[in-house]
Amino acid sequence: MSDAVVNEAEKNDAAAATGDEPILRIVDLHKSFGQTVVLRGIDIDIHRGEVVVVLGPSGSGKSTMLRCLNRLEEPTSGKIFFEGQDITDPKTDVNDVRKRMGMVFQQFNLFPHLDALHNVMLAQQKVLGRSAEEAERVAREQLARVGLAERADYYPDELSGGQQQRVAIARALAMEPHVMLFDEATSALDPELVRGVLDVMRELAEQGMTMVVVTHEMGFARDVADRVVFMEGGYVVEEGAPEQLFTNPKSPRTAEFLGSIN
Amino acid sequence: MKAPTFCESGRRRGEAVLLAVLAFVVALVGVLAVPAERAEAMEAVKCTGRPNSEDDPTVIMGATESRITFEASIAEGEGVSSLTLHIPDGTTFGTDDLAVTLLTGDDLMTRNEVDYTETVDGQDLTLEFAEPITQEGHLNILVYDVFFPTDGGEMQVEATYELADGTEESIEGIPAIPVEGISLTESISQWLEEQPWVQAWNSNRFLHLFFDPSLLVTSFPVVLTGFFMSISIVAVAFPLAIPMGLLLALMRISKLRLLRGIATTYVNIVRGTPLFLQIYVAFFGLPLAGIQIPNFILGVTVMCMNSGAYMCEIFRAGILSISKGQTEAARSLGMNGAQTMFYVILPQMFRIVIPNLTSEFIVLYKDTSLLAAVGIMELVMYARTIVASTGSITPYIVAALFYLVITLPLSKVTRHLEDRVRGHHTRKHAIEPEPASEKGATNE
Repeated sequence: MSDAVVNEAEKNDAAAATGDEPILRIVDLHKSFGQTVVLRGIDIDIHRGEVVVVLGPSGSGKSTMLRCLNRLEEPTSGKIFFEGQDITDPKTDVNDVRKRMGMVFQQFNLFPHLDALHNVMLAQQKVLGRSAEEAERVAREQLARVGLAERADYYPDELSGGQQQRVAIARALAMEPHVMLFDEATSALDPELVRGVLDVMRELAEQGMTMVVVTHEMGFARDVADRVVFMEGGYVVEEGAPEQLFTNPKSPRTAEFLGSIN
Repeated sequence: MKAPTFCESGRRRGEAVLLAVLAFVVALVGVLAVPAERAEAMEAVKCTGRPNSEDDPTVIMGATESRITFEASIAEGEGVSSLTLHIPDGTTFGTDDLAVTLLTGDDLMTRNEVDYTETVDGQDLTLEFAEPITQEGHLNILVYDVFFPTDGGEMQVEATYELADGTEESIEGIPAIPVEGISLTESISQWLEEQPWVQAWNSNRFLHLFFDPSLLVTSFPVVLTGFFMSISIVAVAFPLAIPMGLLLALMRISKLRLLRGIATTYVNIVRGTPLFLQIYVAFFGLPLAGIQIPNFILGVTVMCMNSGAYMCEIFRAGILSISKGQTEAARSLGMNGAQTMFYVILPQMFRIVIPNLTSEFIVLYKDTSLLAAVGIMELVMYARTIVASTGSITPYIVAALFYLVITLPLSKVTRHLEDRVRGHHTRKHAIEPEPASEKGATNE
């Protein structure tokens, strides 16, 4: 059943890619926590292979928006289409959606009872049904990709924050996702550890991965993003190519935010 | 018995006279027949030990002072010159208070002093009589300071005697002395009771009541039986309570209101009432309702159901203490709720709750004592029976030691585990400082 859905989705992908259909389409997304309104109608299209960086002050709703994309938060209203499928539909198998969508968290969230290798293997075996041998092969491949082949038998608390985050990226990549979501992936890191993680992300972008990146790293946004989205107060205030947005913001709010950062 | 023997030998003599050609044979038979006839010079009358048990006035116990009374009849004119008693191996005896008396007269009421010298060779006690005893009567010998072997058994005293003409005979048919073995602890206890320091110790009323050394020793094996019972109750109830507590915990955090309600109600009732009351309800209520369950099984069941409720709260707290990020990470990888619980949350939870589970084990073990109230023969129950028969509190102290022997090491383990959960455990690998250029270098 779920395989059929995947195949269907992949066919849609192929069609979408040729027709330049967005891989992710966010339509009028609203989200409230009780009385607190966080998202007030977000519309963003993300195309295959695109790197979209979401900027904005704290409390602007950018992380909430990202978490709605794989339904870690349930949208209050609005629709999200992923590879042509409405994932806000209650009939959608959310686990099936999630296995095609990788996510990296600010706090890494590695499983502390498993070493790096088994952190990367677990979901492959349980969700994708891969054999232990296959999962281990993929896990070692992905750990090598993030430069941690030598750390496969290290437990999370034996790794630095930067190394943990790279294991977390490898864990997500091992599922062969079609989109990667980065939720302030470097915010919890000591400054000297940020670069290693950003380099991995940069490399991933170069390899053509579709990425939605919530970050405060302006350099990364400027260098790597295909498009920058600036959010504030639950709205998308401005979006555009990074050189345009950084050098010549249309909105005074964007200018003010960029000014306060720099 | 004598008459037919005389007849027989008389007939044989007659045969010897009639058959002159067989004179040599007759002479040979005569030589052989003489000892057989003289065997009756002494015959066993009795051989007994003096009962020495405090509990039973008919019992002779090993490793406890006793006395052997040996009595044998002497036929008139035989002239017994010496007697050797072979005391059974493993039995010790003294010769200082040896008493040797010849009882004579029709009613054997006349006591005659016997002049003798004794020699001891290993287990052989030999009495050389100054003059061969020729008078008819019973020779009565009392051997004092006798200690039979600790293990007990049938003690067979053997005796041989020598007649004035130099022939040696043995006394047949000596009855064996039945001796009951005593345990090692009983013998230690008896030894202790004789020690001056123990007597001094026991002269203090408080020490005697609570810490009587010999009772400490004798209570030990009895209370040990109860200890095994308590341990086996916990050994069955505790492992069964773990899945029960886990199930209840999962029900309590379930999205389904009904499951939550059932688990919450159960946990609140069990934790909100005394275990003592729950035991009473189970042990007196169920039989009244016509449900007969063997005591051990019912005891285990009650302990398990009680502990399950407490474990539920331990597990629930453990699950809730795991960061929400763990669930989010697992779910973001496409794992469903059950997979997340079993592969991500529970393994971490068990590590966290081990100290609390150990404490719960200690509580459960101590609480088995409540089962004494309904007649389960556990630790306290055994201690109580000895307390009832001796009037000393010492067996309860022994019981306390049996609890401490388990609980003290476990508390220490718990403290150690708590430290580990707080993150003081040793790492296999040290965190290495990550050069800022490390990843960059591999890229270039």
